[in-house]
Amino acid sequence: MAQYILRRLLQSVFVIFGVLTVVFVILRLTGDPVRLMLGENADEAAITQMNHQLGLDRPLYVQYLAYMGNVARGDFGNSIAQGGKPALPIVLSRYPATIRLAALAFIYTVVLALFFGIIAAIFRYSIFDNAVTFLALFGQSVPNFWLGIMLILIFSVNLGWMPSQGFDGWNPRYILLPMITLAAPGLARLTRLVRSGMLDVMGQDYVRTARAKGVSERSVVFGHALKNAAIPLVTIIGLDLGVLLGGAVVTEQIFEWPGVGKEVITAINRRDFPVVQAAVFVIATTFVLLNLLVDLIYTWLDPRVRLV
Amino acid sequence: MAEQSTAKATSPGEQSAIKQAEVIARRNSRRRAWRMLRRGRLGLVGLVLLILITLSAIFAPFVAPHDPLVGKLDASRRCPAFTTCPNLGGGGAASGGQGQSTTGDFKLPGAAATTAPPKGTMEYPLGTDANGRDVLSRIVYAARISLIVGVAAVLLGSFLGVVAGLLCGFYGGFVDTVIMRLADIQLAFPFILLAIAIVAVLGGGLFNVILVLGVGSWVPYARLVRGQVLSAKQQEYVVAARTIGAHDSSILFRHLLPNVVTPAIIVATFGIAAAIIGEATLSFLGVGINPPTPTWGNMLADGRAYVGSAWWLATFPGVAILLTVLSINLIGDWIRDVLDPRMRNTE
Amino acid sequence: MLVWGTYQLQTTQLDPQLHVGTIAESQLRHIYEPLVQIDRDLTTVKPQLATEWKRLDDLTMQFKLRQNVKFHNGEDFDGDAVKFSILRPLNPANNAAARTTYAGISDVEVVDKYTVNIKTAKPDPALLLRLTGFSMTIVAPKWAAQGNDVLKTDAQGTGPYKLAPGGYTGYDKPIRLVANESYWAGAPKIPKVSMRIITELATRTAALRSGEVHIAKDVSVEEIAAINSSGRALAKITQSNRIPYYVMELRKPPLDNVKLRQAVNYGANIDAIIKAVLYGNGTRVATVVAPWHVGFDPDLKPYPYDPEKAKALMTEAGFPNGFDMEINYIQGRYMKDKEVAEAIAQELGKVGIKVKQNLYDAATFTQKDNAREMTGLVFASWGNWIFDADNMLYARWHSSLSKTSNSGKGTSGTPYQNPEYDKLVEDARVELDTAKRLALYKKAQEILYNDGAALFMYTLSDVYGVDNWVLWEPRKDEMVWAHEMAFNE
Repeated sequence: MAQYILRRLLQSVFVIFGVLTVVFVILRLTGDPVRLMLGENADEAAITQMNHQLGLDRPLYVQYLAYMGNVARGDFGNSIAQGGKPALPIVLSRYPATIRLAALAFIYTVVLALFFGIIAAIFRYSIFDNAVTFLALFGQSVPNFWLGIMLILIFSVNLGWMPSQGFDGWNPRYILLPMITLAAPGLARLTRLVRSGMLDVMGQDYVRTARAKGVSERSVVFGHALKNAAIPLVTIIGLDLGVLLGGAVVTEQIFEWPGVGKEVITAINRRDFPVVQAAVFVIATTFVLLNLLVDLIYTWLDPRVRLV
Repeated sequence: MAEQSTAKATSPGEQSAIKQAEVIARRNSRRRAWRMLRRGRLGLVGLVLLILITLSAIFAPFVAPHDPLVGKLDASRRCPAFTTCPNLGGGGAASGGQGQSTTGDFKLPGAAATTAPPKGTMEYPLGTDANGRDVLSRIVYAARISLIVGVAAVLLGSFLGVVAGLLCGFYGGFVDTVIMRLADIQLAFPFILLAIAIVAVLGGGLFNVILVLGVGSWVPYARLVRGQVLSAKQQEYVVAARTIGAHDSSILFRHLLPNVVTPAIIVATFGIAAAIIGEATLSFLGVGINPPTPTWGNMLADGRAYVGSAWWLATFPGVAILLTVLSINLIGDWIRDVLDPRMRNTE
Repeated sequence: MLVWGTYQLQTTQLDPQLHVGTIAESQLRHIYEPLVQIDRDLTTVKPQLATEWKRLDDLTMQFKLRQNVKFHNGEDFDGDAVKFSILRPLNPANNAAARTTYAGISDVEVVDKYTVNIKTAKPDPALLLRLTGFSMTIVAPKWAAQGNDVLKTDAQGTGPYKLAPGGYTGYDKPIRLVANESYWAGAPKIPKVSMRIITELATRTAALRSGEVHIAKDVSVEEIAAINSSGRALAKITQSNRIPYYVMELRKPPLDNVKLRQAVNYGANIDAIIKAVLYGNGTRVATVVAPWHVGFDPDLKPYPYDPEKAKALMTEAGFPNGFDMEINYIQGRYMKDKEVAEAIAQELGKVGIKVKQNLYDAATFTQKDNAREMTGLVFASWGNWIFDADNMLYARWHSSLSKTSNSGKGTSGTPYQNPEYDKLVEDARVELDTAKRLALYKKAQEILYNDGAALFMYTLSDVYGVDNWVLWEPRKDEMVWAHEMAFNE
């Protein structure tokens, strides 16, 4: 077990190294941060000098080696656009907002998906089931930004129940709309998967056996079917959480939610290389670690899976 | 199967339980047949819908009442037929300038005296946009692009993924490790950054958007196929083929590939819907397909700021996406019911 | 508390002297003041921290300073503060983005505590207007002398508002201000202000309509009626100092031919585009100088829409069936920028000019611009912040630009080279005789016009959503200032 975790962690280092290399190359292809920062009316001498100060006039491979060397020491450099503040702390300061939104969206997704999925599976082809199926299809057919704007129009402008944007800690009035928006596609998909997963296992021998033995329907559903249906879902849920924690670019943009996703898109738009690199590092690390965690949970749920 | 496992049951209570179960099973089988049919009917609805959408895309020049790319500026922002036009920006001729003019000593440009009728007309059934282009015509032509994007992105993604998955599953070892770590890198890398990079370097054309969406979606196929191959490899016919000295490539393509096609097709149907939505998101982020080419995604993204006023600009492309994705999903469900034996068992 | 939401990203730091962002200037002018300020008519120069001024000789202007003014941190405002502040952005080590605009200033002499002489190397007719501009605000000198870092996150000026304690926590967090109770012109009427960034247009409009922000900048023209009928806010429109235009890349085909450049101007149908796409919220200008700018030529009339003339010009140029061209632009930065570009392409298509559209994100646009990869029409937008033609006709069109910009490589957006034109704007730069200077600029504008150096368009109108709770009339220079507002009791 320990050996397995160690090997996976080593592989993770390789993955993160790969991600950092790709992001370095890609960013250098996409533009000039200094000119963007100094603005449309900028002075050429100022641009040249700033490029020199930031070392952006050195050959690419020199920049790359210096960058990797610094990263190994945990130094992601200083933000270009934000007055020389260190890049990694900038990104990490955005993390609590993202985690807040992601965690709530995650809980909301799992709870609702289980509830609707299970009920729909039990009352297959009932009105309820059909409604759930249709809503889930609807949820999968609507682009995220569209849903967010519609929610703002209905709940902020017309009903006046909730603010249209902003961040206020755990204040539910601010969290609710972005949470629903962020969770929608994942919720739709997971509901469908829970439903079909439940139907799948409920048709299996051991469930039929349990039924035939006169085990109550409730413990058939929750005792036997759910646990087995959950196994393949864990991977999907894990990937979803990874996506949520990676910062919801679109949702955070629409609701002015000050999370990692908004920081990434701002930094990309400014070609603020150090901040983008630090953000990608944080996102990738989160993702890789979550993946490892999911695999461990998987083996715990289903002991037949060997650790390889 | 259920009978086999319950046959050993002997106690009277259990006997009656078996009877009961058999009754339920028989009743279920009648209901099952009905449901399969109904399921199929829903799938059929989806299929018909998709065929209609595809046909109107193919025959767009005959379906669209106007030129989708060139509008008339004096027919700007007409509202759909049978609806009452909302008062927009400059207001109607009667209301004059609604916005308060506060220019002091300079002449206010003032509201345009709109010549638009107060009600929509059949000339522009779904209204027009700011440049006076017919929304219906644009939606019909946009279907071409959106369907092409959906299908091509899935073809590209599934091709890359299936090849990678076959290689991983078949060869294992080093190849497997490298490709799977590449998959991890792909998944851990923020998609939007990849999209912006590709569009920034190559430009915002149709092909590049397909490239972005395709390259961004190979991993699920690879993982799926890899798993299928790993289990198929243990099966007797593959082992047998190996022992009689069949070529790697012949084993791969003749024995393993057919096995993994079914689950891949299921993933792919849902992938098409995802790609259509993905294209809309790229447009929202400003890295979609270049104007003037209409796509449902860029029409929706462009119209999003006016949902409270010029509502038709975003509503109808949204409906088009909804219907298409819905029909593809219905067909996907249907295919899964028919093709996936495990799913069939549960009915 | 007054809240206003804007569209663009604000400056990433609070330093008032190193940036060139209009939004940032609008925000920072609450805290920092210049010696002299432009009035709402954009032509009159008003006393601010200077009470009077006179020209001593061709190279010197003398300013009498307002007495008994204190910076927010208690420092005295005096001649030394002026000298420190005006010379600060001129120091190349400080990387002030607008340095070239002020590079003609050679020295500031402190005559006595409340008198300074500002000297220029050459005669500068626009000096007074220049001093109203970006970077020319006065900062507390002892505090600022600690180094540039202190100005990034803190602010000590003389203005009507002070930065609230902890009022700045990051570039996209709200900036919070409190009234400066001891302001020399009396405390402002609104005691607290919060300025926040809402980039998404739909969200910004929603925030206004639900009462979360009281001033929303650049709401879309489609929403004007909805805002007015909401009962909560009014849309207020004003002609804007901002001029969007399309530079013609005349070093490369097809626009190296003057007849084709003129054909584009005749065929683009800008008047109809203003009426339809902008709902009338734009005013044609003949070139790139607005009526209120010093040097404007009132006799030059905008290119009319004349498709026949456009076709005739193309035939003369040897393209009777039209020609192919590109248009390069960005979206979401200025009102209807994308829609207008699409309309231009559409209208030019009708006279036979096939226009390929290249829509870029701002950063990619800059990259292509620097690589000189663009051809055809290249989007540009200029808010002339000193209201003098010099900061347009020289700053954007003098040929030195194509040799000095982008480290000597030039850009796609600065292609213009014309020795005759150069001479005119160079002379006008140092001509103190107003009539002679105007004549020079008149000639210069005629040259740009006849050369079809750009696709000339319009001054924008700015559309603000203003909550009924606030009494305010928008300014034409895009400045949204809480000290010009009051609550509607």
